[in-house]
Parts: sequence; structure tokens; C-alpha cells
Amino acid sequence: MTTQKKTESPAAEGRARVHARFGWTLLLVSLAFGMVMETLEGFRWAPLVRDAWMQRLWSLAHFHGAAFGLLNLIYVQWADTRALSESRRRSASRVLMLGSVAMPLGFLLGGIGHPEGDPSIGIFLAPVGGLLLLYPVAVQTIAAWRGQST
Amino acid sequence: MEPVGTRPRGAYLAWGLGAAVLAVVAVLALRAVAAEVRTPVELSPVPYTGSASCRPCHPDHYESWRRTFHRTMTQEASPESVVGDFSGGSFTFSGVTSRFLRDGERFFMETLDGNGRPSRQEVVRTVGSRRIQQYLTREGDKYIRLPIAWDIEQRSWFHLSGGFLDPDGSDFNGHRALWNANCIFCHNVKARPGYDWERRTFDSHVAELGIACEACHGPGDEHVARNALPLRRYYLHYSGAEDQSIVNPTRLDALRRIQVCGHCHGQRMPSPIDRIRQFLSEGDPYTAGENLSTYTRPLYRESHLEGVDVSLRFWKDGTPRLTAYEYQGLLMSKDFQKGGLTCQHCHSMHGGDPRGMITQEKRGPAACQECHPTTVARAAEHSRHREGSLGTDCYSCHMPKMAYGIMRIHPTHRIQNPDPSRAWRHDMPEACTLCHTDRSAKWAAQTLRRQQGQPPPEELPLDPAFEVAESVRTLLSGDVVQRAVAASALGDTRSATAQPLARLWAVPFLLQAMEDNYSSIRRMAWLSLESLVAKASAARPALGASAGQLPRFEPQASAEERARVVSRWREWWAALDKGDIPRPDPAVPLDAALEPIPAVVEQLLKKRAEHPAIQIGE
Repeated sequence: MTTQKKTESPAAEGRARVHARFGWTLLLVSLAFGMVMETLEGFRWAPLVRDAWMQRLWSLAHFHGAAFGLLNLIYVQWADTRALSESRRRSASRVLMLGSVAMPLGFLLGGIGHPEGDPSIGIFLAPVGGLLLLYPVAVQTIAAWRGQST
Repeated sequence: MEPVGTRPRGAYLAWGLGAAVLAVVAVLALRAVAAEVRTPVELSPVPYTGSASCRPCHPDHYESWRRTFHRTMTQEASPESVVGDFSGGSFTFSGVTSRFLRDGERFFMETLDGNGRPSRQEVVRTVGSRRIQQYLTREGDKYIRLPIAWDIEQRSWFHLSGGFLDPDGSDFNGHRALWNANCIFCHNVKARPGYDWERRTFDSHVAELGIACEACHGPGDEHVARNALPLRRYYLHYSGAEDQSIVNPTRLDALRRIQVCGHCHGQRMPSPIDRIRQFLSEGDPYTAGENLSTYTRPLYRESHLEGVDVSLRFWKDGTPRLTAYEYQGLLMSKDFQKGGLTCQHCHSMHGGDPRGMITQEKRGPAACQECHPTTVARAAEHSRHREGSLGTDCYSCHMPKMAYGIMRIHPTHRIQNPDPSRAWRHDMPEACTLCHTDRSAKWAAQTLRRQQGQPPPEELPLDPAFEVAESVRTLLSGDVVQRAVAASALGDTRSATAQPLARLWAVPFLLQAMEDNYSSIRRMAWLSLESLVAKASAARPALGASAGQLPRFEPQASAEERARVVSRWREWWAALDKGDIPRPDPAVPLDAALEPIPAVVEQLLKKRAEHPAIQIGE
């Protein structure tokens, strides 16, 4: 166990740092985007206010981006859980970041240049991102139930 | 304890396989959707689903339709839909006083019933919401159109004989019409009168009141059901493929496209005529996108319709002279025949001004730009009119206002080159003198030929009446539609004379027309007079001040009341200082005091008396 911990620690620390940077950045971008959007709504910027789909999808992009930023920051605590193998931790980390970007990006793109009554084709990224996010959440849940501490 | 996933063997292979299976499934699904989309759908048996079901997927189109007068063509009577004044006022016409009452959210009209007895009749539906609003009452299985309607623009009640072209003394209940067998067809979506020929009863239904999405796009039930599948929608969005489960008029060929509009904007008769039984029981079998000629044929001057003189609805050259014949006008135009011009080139169902369903741009020469760019670019040279003047507007010469429809004169939809000889060859208005109202048709013919560098016309009329300004000649001696066109032209904004005072010469002739025996002519003459005086008042406020003291003219008031008002206005004109009013062309029969020359007026009125009285209804 000691040997394993020695070999895993630098990677885990690096992963935690990556998720901290990623999470804060995603939170910053999403909050900044949300503020810009709310300002535009406040000033009744016609292209946004007139387009119900754009308004709704961009709100979802803002909300999910911020939520996944927080999720990544929470993940920092579990990035090196010993209940998971290194390869599983690595894949969970990558998929978490991928999903955290894909879903809000899907909503963002879905609101741009969309046909009447439907989001644009970019919306397909959202369910893909959702599915991706299920993977790290699922493996972390299993790890938590297996009872090993971080 | 073994950490989770210590040996994720074949993980990449599993992901890869999963992705490949997904890709294959997606491609197969797309191919299936593409094949289904390409398969034609027989729309006539498809149920209608109503505009509310279009809204979730087409919110923009729904909203742009919602603001149109199409939507509000027929409505259930409610405080929101009723625009007439039902606050207890009254209106007297032809000795009958009608009253308009409201009880909470219910509306009533006290007027003659079908038996000619005064009775309180509940208004249950409204028809129209732009210029006029008509009211329907219910008698058992029948909806009956009441003969008194509300003039939305003038905010006053009027009898429908003034909306159609009926001479004074017509039957008060002449326009008390059966909705189930008439209006129902064009003012609603997919009407089914449900007439039982044995019991002689109606069981009428419509897919939707008013003119809604499915009137032009066909029944939507199948379209809604099929497009519940997102893959189908996205395939349609990004492939550009045509959705066969609904009609998109812009994807139809030119004839089918204008038939979608012509279904209502082109009076038709069932073909064969016996099909009328099917129309009255099952409804009009036409579905948008089909060939309209399969079921009906348009009415033309030479059409025969029992009990109706159809020829009265057309000028003698065959051009429709009433509205709701725009389809025929377009069919007769070379622009359609050779150029494939359709209604949608100028009109927009989902954009522009709901009044006329046209954008501001298309109200001007831009409408013709697409097909005639060179001509539009050098419009002044082409039209031989001053750059920027109304004479360079294509509509002025090629679509002059000469079609009567509900108290207005509208542009003809038979697009033609101007030809002043039509005035004497076909007894019809011609473009030049509708703007140059103080000029004769002979002058127009000669001037046009001279401008074109051609010798003077040989076939000039011998009748001295054609020496008189055409607007005056037709206002006094023309038949009822000619008079309506002239009365409107004399006050129309489209005029060769921009100076308001220079148009005042028409006042005494308009006063003459206010004594016409058709209230619709009296109304148009009065509106023109009002407009001329209002514009001149801006240039000469004292004129407006003196005219402002005079009583308003009510075209359907009693003869005595009308005579009193006309007399006051005549006195005003006689007393008016006319020093600064420019004299019109000598073709206008006026003396030095700008009063009509009695002999000429008498002669023209005598000619008019030779016309048989005509009545032009729906």
C-alpha cells in the first residue's frame, strides 16, 4: 500500500491541481457569461430577448457550466481515491472534464443559428456530455460505497 | 480490497464498438427518415389539427400569423373580438332604426328580423376586423349575417348596401345573408356547411374559425405526428428536403402557388356546377397544394351563373373590377403567364404590414425590381415622368386603382401597360387620368403617343364627352363602378398634382357625387372631399377654419338631411375666396368662379341616366 501511495501521489496531486484550475476557470467563464447574458436581458437586447430558444439554451449553458465548475472543485477532494485504480481515476478525471465542457457547450451552440422551434445541431453535445458525466459520477459513487477513504 | 477497475481490459475496444454500433444505427435511422420524408403524402384525407398545434415548433410563424387580419376574419363574439359600439346607440337607415346593446359579455342588435319585424337579435360571431366588422346571429341551425355593420375606420354604423354597390331603395334585408352557405367557405379553415338536402338543415363545422395556418398549408395532423421524431426534424432542418406531410406554398409551382391564395381571392364556381351539392353538404373539397381547377373554375366576364349577371363584375375588356378577383387578374397578366409572377413575390403572409400583407419596400418599385431591374433603374426615362415623382412608381401605371371592394378602390391585379383608349373602347378607367384627374382620356392618348415618338392615335372617340376631364366625365356619367373609381381618384394621395390647393377644383364635382343614388359613391365622394379640404387647410388655415364650421356628411342619412348638408357645403364653396386656387386644365368644365358649367353637367348626368340601375353584391 505504501509503495502504491508513493507512486500515486504525484499523479493525484497533479490531477487535483488540474481539476482545481479547470473548475475555477469553468466557474469564472460561466459566471462571466451569465452576467453578460443577464445584462443583455436587463437592457432588452433584442436578438436575445426575441429568441426564446436562445435565451433558454444560453441560460442552461450558463447554469450547467457553473454547476460543473463546482463539481470539478468538489472532485479535487476525491481525485486520488484509493478505491479506484490509477487507470480508472485517470479516465474518470478526463471524462469528467470532457463532460463538463460538452454539456454547457452543447447548450451554447444549440442556441446559435438554430432553426425555428428546435435548437441547432450543436445541442447533440449536451446529451453526450450528460452521458460522459455519468461515468465519473458512477465510478466515484461505487468507490464511495466500497468504503475506502481518500 | 481490490480497487475498482484495476483491469479495464478491452475498455477502448468496448467504447469503439459502442460508437460504431451507434454510428451504424444513426446512419440506418437517417436513411429510413430520408426515405419516409421523400414519400408523398395524400393530404386530403388527413385531419385538421388547429393552429395551436403549430405554435410549439413554429413560434415565429405563429406569432406573425396571429397579428394578421386573416386570424380575426371570423371570431366568436366576445368583448375582445367585438369592435363595434354596442353601448346603446342607434342608427337609422331607410326608415328603420337599429339599436346596439350590450349585456355583460353578450351583444345584441335590435333591427328587422328575417320576417321584417323589429327584434332583438344576439350577436354570436363577428366577421372582419380591419375595415368593417359584420355580425352574425343564430337562428336554429343557421348563422345569419345582419344587415348593419360597423365601419372600423370611420367608427360608425352603416347599412351593408353602402358596403356593396346597391342603389337607394334596395331591400333593407337584402344583405341579411345565410353564413352557412356563403361566408363560411372563405372566412374559415376547411368549412363543412353540412347541409342536409332532404331535411333542409345545416350542421356546419369548420376546422378553425378565421383563416389559420392550415388554410394555406393544408391539414397538419400527419405533419405534427411525423415530426414528433427529433431525427426527422433535424434531417429536414439540415438537408433542405421538402416535408411532404405539409404544404409549403413557396415550394409549389407558380400556378399551384397562386391557387392557394386564389382559393379565396378569386371568386369561383363549382365545376361541374352540380358539384354545388357536394360543396353545401361536405364542403369545398380543395386542399391547399392541390390543383384548384379540379373542383372549381374561376368566374370570368363570360361565365354563366344562374340569377347573377357576372359580367357586371368585370370591365368590358375582362379585367375584374371588384376585389376577391385578384387570382383572375394575375392569371390574365403576362407577368404570371410568361414570368411566373406569384402573389408571394409582393405579399408576405408572415411579414410586413398586416394591412395588405405587404412590406413597405414592396409597396414601391422594389416589387418589380427582381424581374425588371433595368426598367426600375431608369423608371423616370421609362415612364417619362419626373424622377422621384409618383409617375415613376410602377403601380401608378401598371396596377392603377380600379377595383371596388368594401368601400375602397384597390389596385387592379391585372398587370397591364397603360392604354388610354380603354376609356372609350371598354368604358373603363385608365391609368393616366387617374392621376392627371383634370385631363381627358383623349389628351392622355395623344400625349402618350407623342412621348413614345409615335403618330397621333387614329381611333379617337367622336363623342364630345371625351373632351371633358375623364374623372369628371366618369364621375357624372359613368356606371356605378366607374363613378366609384373617379370619386376615389379625385381625393387619392396618388395624384399628378402635389399642391393641395390645385386639387380643390374637384370640390363642386364631389358635391355633385354626394347626391348620387348609391350611398357607396356618396361616401367615397365625401371622403375625397374631406381629404382635399384637410390637405388644403394645411396650406391655407383660414379655409380649414371655415370648413370646420360645416356639418359632417352622412352618406346613409335621410335624403333631406343629406341635401341640407350638401347645400351648406355648396354655399361655403360659392363664398370661398378662390383667388389663390390654381385653375385646372380647360378639360374640367368650370366657369370663372370655379363652379361647374351646368350644361355640361346636365349632359353628362343625362348620359348616366341611360345606364340601367345595377346592383353588385358579393
